[in-house]
Amino acid sequence: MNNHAIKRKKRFHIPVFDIVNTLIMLLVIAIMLYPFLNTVAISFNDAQDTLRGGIGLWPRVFSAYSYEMVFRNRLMVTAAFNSVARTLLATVLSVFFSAMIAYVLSRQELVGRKFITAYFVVTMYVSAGLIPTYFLIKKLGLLNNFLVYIFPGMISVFNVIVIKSFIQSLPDSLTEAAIVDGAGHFRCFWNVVLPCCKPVLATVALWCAVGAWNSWFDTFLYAPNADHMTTLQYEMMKLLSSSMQTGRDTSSIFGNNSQQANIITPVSIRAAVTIVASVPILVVYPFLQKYFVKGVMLGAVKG
Amino acid sequence: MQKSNLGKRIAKSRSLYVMIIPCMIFTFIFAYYPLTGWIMAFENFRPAKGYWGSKFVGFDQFRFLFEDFEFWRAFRNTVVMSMMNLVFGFVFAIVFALLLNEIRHSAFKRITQTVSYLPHFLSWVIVCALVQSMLASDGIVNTVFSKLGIIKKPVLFLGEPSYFWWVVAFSNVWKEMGWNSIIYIAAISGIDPALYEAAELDGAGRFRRMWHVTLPGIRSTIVVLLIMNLGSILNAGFEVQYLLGSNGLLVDVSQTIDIFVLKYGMSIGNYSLATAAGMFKTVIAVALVFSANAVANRLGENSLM
Amino acid sequence: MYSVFRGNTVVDPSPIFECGLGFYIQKAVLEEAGYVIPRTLDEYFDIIEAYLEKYPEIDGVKTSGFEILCDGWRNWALLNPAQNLMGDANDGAMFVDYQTFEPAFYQDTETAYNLYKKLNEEYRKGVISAETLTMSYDQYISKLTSGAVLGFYDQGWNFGQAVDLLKADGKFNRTFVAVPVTNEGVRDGYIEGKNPDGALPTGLNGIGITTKCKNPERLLKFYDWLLQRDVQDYICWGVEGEDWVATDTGSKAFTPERRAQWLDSARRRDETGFTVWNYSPAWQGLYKFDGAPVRSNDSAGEYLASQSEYDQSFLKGYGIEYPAEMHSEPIVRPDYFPVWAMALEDGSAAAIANTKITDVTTKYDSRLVLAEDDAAFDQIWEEFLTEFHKIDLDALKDEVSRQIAVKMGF
Repeated sequence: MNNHAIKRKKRFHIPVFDIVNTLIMLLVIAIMLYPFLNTVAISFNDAQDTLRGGIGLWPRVFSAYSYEMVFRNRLMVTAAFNSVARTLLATVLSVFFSAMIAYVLSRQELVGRKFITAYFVVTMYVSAGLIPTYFLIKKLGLLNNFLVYIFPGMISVFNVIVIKSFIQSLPDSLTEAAIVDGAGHFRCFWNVVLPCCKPVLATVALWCAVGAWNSWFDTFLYAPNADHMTTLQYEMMKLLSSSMQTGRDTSSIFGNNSQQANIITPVSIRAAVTIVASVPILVVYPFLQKYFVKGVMLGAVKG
Repeated sequence: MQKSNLGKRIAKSRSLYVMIIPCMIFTFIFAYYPLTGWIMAFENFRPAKGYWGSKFVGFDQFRFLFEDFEFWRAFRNTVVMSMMNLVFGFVFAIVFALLLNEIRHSAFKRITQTVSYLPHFLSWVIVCALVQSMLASDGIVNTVFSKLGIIKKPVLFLGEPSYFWWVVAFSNVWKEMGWNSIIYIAAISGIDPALYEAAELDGAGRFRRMWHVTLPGIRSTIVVLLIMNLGSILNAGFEVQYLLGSNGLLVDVSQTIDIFVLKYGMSIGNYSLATAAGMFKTVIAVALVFSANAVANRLGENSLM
Repeated sequence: MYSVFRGNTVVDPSPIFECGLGFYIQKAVLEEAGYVIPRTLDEYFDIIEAYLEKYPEIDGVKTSGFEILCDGWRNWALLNPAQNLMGDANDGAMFVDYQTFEPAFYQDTETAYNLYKKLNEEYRKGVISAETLTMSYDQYISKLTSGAVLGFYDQGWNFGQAVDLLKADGKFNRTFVAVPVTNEGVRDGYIEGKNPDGALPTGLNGIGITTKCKNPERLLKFYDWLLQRDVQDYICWGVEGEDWVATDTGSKAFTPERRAQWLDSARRRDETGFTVWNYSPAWQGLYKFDGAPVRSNDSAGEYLASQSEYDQSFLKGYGIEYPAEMHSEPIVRPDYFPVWAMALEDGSAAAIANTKITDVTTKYDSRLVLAEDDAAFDQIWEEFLTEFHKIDLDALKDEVSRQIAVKMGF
């Protein structure tokens, strides 16, 4: 009876809050969408005409040349395969290990818990630098080895802490129930805690996936000339560095200041590269969105 | 008595140890072992000569850093920009997550969320080019402001030192708000819906519910992220500042520690300087994180350790 | 490292057609001013101001008197002009006297003071806008393509893309030419003369052969073969009859189709293999044997034929054949040239000094140009001198002197 009354009220009375909120969201969409659409427009614009500047949401002189330049690459297939492979592997492994460590660190009964947590946390802010890391990778025989895409970044303490915080917010009744049933810690972790963490695991998975997908610097450092190891991002970077001597891309800053004459216009190619590199990963997110639905936890406790 | 107690506790958690000790070893190899490279900070490191062949110079590299007024200026710039990014980043991401949560039309909600993190995928090079064209004297910002009568003649946004930090902060918000809000949206979805129902029955309106149910529900996430980001305060990055602020007018406020180290370290082949700066950053970061963590503990918050 | 290659060349230097560095000015402005050659900064800015007053807008875009690009490493427009005013070409951070071969700094001289003072004056008059110092390279190129920029200081290769677009639009009068602006009574040295001994490597370009290369001898043999006369002729000119015809002077000239393709930069990029062999070893100039040009770039005939109608009438207005003739006879550079290409040791005091010089001059020169009034200008100048002299300048000077001595064989 009560519900009926509330529902009737809502149908005739649209709160101001909702109107304002919707407007705000529309504004957000406009602001966030514009740069992306602009980049798409530039990528489809003729390279030379782009020099004039002033392109808006639509290409002025249509040309798919930039995309041609991007795809005209014999290593494209290998690169795509490697990118997908490393992203999948790195994500699955990283999420698993991060979650496992997070679970362990969330257990009050762990002796030395504070010390072990600190042990991990400190590594977030400690970095030996490029050269020592390079020496290590070399020593481990990971140069030009596909595993170099997996191992070094496998345990991300940031992700561990985020998951741990989430686990700690779960009701204790959850794990108590499992332990009463006689499950060991790993069982508890795998069968009980993990399924309840879906939202945060989806988020961490997204972070790992995007991170793995976008990395090119490790290829640059540890496998710069190994064709079998190239990734999509690395191929993109190579394209940018050769045609983009504007001195504005990061990789050229690390080297010398190029005194070479610039030949090819980079702007539209830069745009095409961005689109090609980011579209695949954008497609992933909608699949993860279902994990962010409210009330995912509900069933677990009651059941 | 205590000894056997301890022994018992360790035995009880032995499966936990099995799960975690391999990870600790792994972390040791990849994070702690390379720290032997810190010796470079005390030498004039030359890659060809390696760690032991390079000349030992004691604290010279550190002296170069700390005695240079430019370095401290860069330090100030870095801290200010980091704090601004932190505050703005958090506030906008959380508010956005809260507001998005109130949208009931699920398709609209999903579309907005997807669009909101699109800028994260654009490189800073592209975003800065856009910022520059927007802030130009004939760009959108100046045109709109003149029409509204706020300013009389075009403002040189990218030439005035006092505006630069705000430009950086807002560019960051534009680029990262949507992305940063993902974790908060995920956390919100973990809040028990029963709490909302109860609040509604108690007569709580929208804002009340946000303040008393949603925010507390994600409080632990916020605190944890805040502490971790505080440690990265000296990493304000360098891409934005390099791309937008390299001109002579802004260089005093735009140069960050990373840019300074890049110029006087990497670009002229002085890796030792970069290492010294890295050590400096680590010390400060660890100190900050542990202090923030202690404060959080004091306040009864769910902290890192 | 390079060693000077002398003797045994088969080419003579070709004539220099255009000056690739300096104070550029729109051809339309020179035409309007009656084909004068401005030789001092005052003369240069006078004619720009006159044109600016007459045409506040060009093709719907607000006319800009003078642009100064300072974006990251493209900072020479702001930092370098003083050395050219003193008669040097582009030497980078130091100015070298050709008699004594002693390097000196030009950033704190009276010439520099007067240069920035003049720029500041022009800024206050509205000829230079403040925005010019904050724009990015992309914005700069886009401004140039509009045809509304009257003058700027730059190097030819840096803005070549904009010129290509202007030409494609048919706006030949809006393209640019470099004029010999110097201090009163100083001989202009903008153009780098070509060494009569032939193509001299400047120690910048080269080929690297990887250690993994299976057959370096074969590679070198390939390059040797590439350098033979008939191979070069084929690469650079093509097939007789189809691509080129013989001229009555015994030289070569492109057929109209080939010339059209060569002059269109987009077509040149897409249809010829030019980007492949452009960086390979090659000769430059005129063959000693019969005076024939190695490439079309070396051919006077091709150059003249490639000029648009407007350009031809423009050159006639001056009574010269090539724009470079506005300048004095080019000086052949000594072996150490240029200073900016000298390698400074990693992390050395010289390298640090070099970086600091760039930093300090970038910062203060920008502020000098935008000073509000004379008093502010002088105050900034004083600050600049103090900061500049705090740098360990001798470290760089000594290193440069040392390298000059080594390369000149003193």
